[in-house]
Amino acid sequence: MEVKWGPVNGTFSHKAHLKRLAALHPRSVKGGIAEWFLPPHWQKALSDFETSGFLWQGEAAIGRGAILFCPACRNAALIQFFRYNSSKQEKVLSAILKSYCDHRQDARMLWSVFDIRVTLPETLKLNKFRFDAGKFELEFIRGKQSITLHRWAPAAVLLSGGDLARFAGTVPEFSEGQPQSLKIGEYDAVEWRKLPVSGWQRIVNRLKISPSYFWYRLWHVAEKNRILGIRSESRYPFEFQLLDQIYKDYESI
Amino acid sequence: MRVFRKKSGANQLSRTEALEYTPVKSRQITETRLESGEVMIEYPLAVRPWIAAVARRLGGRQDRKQTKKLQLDALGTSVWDLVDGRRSVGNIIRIFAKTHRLENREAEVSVTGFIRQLGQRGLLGLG
Repeated sequence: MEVKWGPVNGTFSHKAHLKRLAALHPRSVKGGIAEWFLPPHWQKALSDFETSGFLWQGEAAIGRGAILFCPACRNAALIQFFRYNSSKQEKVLSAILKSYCDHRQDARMLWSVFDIRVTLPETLKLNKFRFDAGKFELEFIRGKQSITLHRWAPAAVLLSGGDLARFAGTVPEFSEGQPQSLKIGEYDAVEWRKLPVSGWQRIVNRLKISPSYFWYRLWHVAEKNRILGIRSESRYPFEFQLLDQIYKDYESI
Repeated sequence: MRVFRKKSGANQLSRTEALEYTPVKSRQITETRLESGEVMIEYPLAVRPWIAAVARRLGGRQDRKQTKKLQLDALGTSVWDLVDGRRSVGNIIRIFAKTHRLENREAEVSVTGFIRQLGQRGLLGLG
């Protein structure tokens, strides 16, 4: 079985994608690729998508599959099954096709990289990332707000002879201010925020290009030997509900 | 005669082959364990011949050995302690990853980088 997917810019054409698929195959197969009318149970399983089917036959293998286009998220996908000619497998294939989903229904997106996992609103776009040994960073932006997720390991070594507040002081992005030590659930944490207090300050800060609102939280996940952190900067007041939600969803697996 | 010869890839090791090598400590070093548990390595400094010649002409002592000290941090010490002349690089990576609960790939990058740095200073060789 093979699944390929990608975003579509502009209009989507099933015929053009079938041609592109044919171009990827070796010469012996190229001529053998033909349009195929999807059986009713395939159509039913893929009812959320605009679909077209294809089949091909090579010297050593045969394949059948579907090209899918999702008008909601504008992603196209190709699913094909090799050496598929058994009616016994039909139920399994239908179940696989029915389980295929190319976007979430709750306008959120799952990010899972190495050992970190987080679900973020789709409106947050990945701006930059960095994966060094012992230190990962993912920066997302939305308008004038940036949210950076951090992960350090091994925590036992990084925290030896000190606590999270001391560790925060050693990281340039977290060294500003005096973080407050907290206990959030089972985790030791530190948090710091800098918000314009008076109305006058807020007005002045609106005229500035650089952000005026800063917030970060670091916490120690002892059982995973990790330190996780979220840092946010913005020109406008934070949605603390969003930051709290990210904190709840952000984990080391 | 070709002046600019293309580098041959025949001598380059694959990743799998490189991980099978065994790091060995140099015999010319002395290591000291500090109170903090970290290791301090003292190793002879390789002076370039022309610098040595200049030093001789300026009246420097010929028999004097120049040494340098290198203090390893906690993670460096834990890798250094795993180098026993028998464990392969791959084996050291696996133990290091398990001890510190790190991703294998992450441990590989740190351990191989560390071994490379010590190798460049002549403190470790691969056997």
